[in-house]
Amino acid sequence: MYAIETNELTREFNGTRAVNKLSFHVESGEIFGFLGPNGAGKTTTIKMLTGQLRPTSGRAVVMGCDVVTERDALKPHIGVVFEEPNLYERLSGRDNLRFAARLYDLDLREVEPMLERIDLARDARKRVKHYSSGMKQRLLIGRALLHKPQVLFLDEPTRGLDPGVARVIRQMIADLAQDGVTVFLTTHYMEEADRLSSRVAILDEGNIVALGTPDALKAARGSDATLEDVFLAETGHSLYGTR
Amino acid sequence: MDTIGISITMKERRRRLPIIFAIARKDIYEALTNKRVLIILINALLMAMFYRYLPNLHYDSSQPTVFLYDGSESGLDQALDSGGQVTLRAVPDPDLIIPLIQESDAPELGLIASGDVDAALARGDTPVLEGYMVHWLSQRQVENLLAHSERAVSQALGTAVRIELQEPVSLSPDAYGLGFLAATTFLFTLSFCGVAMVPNLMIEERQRNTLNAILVSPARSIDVLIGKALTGLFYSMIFILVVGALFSAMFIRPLTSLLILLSVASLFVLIGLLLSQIIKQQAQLSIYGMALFIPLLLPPFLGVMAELFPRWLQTIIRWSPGSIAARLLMASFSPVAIAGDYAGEIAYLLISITLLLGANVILLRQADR
Repeated sequence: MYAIETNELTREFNGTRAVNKLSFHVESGEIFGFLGPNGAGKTTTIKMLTGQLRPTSGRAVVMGCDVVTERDALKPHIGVVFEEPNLYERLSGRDNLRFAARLYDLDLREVEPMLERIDLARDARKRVKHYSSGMKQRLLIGRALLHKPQVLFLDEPTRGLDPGVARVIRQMIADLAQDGVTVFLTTHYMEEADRLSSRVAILDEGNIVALGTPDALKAARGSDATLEDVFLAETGHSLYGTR
Repeated sequence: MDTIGISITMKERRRRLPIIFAIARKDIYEALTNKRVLIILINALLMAMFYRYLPNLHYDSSQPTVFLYDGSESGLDQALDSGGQVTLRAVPDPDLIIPLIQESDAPELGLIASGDVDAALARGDTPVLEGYMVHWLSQRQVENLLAHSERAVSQALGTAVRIELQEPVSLSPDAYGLGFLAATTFLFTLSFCGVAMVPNLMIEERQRNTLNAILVSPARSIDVLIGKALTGLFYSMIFILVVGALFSAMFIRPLTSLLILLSVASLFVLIGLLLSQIIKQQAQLSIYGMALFIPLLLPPFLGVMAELFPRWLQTIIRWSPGSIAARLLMASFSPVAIAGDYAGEIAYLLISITLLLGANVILLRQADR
């Protein structure tokens, strides 16, 4: 069984096709990079895979659960780190995790080890509004992992972070895969996808234009090619819209 | 199979309860750290205190109001009026004394001086007047008012008198005295909790995207809605207790009043939930909220001068939710049979709650699709 499998997954908004007939699968335990520029359809795809948005057509199955008809059964298997930090800023880091623990009907004693794991034990009592962006991102990841999901969805996890902080987050992501968690990672940082992902899908205007291991995709374009070169070759424009 | 189906549903419902309570618990705690919500709650409290102590602003204990029917020939009314120790309101009919006392919002005394006063004065006996006070006065207020009035009347008649207090006057459900102030204070504070606070909680959850974080967990939209409703009801209960303490003397049937208050609180919370499903932005909430507050809270006050309006408007005012709620509360402060005399109002309230519940569920299902 694949961790994630989609079949012609499509989503339209007012007649505009944001995601067009995506068909791909993600193996259990791999880090799957889903990359593309802003507006490519990455977040829309994550929203459909996590049951937040109903596909217009097509099908997606995550950990054996149909994302439309088995949405409730799907939820315990997935954790989601959203693009925008969505923490309760007036609550402490600990209270944010305790709330999540209650939603998943977990023992509250699970919270302290998680705080240690994400290196926030010392700052657990502080209100989140006093956290740095790196601390918030670690807390988001901790919240998403608290109930030990098999699949973790990360939507642009290093966006807007300092390089040093981004490096820490990437290391956390790499460690997750070693723990057997399947990671579905969206990013528009090609280098990040290249370094972290075992396989990538490149998305442009709602379509997958390339799918494979980073090395295979680059090799097809030449020995010095980067994923951005692959993107340019497949779409005719760069990540930033230039030709 | 039916038994298994029922037991599965019960099991499912028990599973959802911890989620709902987790959401409510988080909101109850977080509300206290939310400036916007705190302002709403503080405003509600200030309003409650203002309405409770508003009568004290115009009450002068050195010159209390006395309603007097003087059926004697002693000239008591003129003597009392010129004595300056009381503010005298002469009344032409003794049957008007009790309705006037029922309208009071401060310590006031109703006095009936019958022809027996003349006979007592002629015999050289102590004249006895009938005294009427409203039931919600404290013992101290009763004693002070009684002593002051006896002194004033004694001085006016030039001889010692005795005022014999009759049974405390219960409120009338139609009287616009302290009972009306209490009812409208409850309405204001409960509407703040339900119609202002609850939508704020939901809209903020949506705006900062934490709602999505909740919905990717085992929580469903209905759990979020019920959790917010419980938060609204929790703070409504707090205000029921606080305002209840401020107007404690009103409660001659506490359980009946409490049931009505809980129904009114539920009505306002459901209105708030409906708003929260329709409105997406805080700025919109200010506009919609103001637009709602006026038709909800103004009609009870318009009812005071209802005779000025055409009949069709009087009917609309009378049967608006705010007027219904105020009327039921005022009835609970009086000894009338609510179930019998106010069956229409009770049915209106229950039907409104049911319709609002249904509307909320329908909107929720549409959003979930």
